[in-house]
Amino acid sequence: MARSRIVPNRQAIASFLRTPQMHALIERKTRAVAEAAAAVSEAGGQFRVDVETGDRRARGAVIGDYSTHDPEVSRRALLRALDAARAVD
Amino acid sequence: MAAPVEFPDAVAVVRSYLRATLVERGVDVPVVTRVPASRPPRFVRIERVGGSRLDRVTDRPRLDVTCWGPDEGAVADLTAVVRALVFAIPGWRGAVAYDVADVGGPITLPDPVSGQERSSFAVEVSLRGTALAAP
Repeated sequence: MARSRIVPNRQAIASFLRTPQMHALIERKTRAVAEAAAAVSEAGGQFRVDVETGDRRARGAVIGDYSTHDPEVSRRALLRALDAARAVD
Repeated sequence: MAAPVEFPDAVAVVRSYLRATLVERGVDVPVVTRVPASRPPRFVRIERVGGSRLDRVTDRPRLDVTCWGPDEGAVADLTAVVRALVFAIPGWRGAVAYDVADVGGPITLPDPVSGQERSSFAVEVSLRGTALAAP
């Protein structure tokens, strides 16, 4: 029997990762993480969301916590909030 | 009804593993789950900070691992060993760990209370559950 071979269509994948629908999905997930981080923050919970479509893919970032100068507080909130992204489709 | 599946206490599993493998390497430092009021010169703290069930038999806890030490060099050395050991947990006989994923690499965060140097990194460990014992 002939062996099967899978060849990824990289151009199509790159196009898919840059579609408006993908941008919207990344934005929903990023905002969910930001909201969860604000909810669990031990400080004021001021997080900002940055979403953009780059050359290869849409990407999102959650930045903060702007209410504190303690990086440990920001880190703890962001780590604890990551699961919120999984809950959003 | 589907058979209930229970997952191991991820912090306890990784703590036991780390303590045993650190001692094997001659690195005799406490591995704890809470920061002691009186901090030793060097120690490791493991804390679960989330994570979720991947499928019926796989849990994927997110663990925050922090290493304390008397100076930057000691912390860097301890973090390097602990991080290497954590990524080597798949295959250890104490638990069925499928894989370890990097969540955030080491970051230097001096302890504001004791003034000690410390460094943290986060991972996700896939652990296999077992059938819940009959009552």
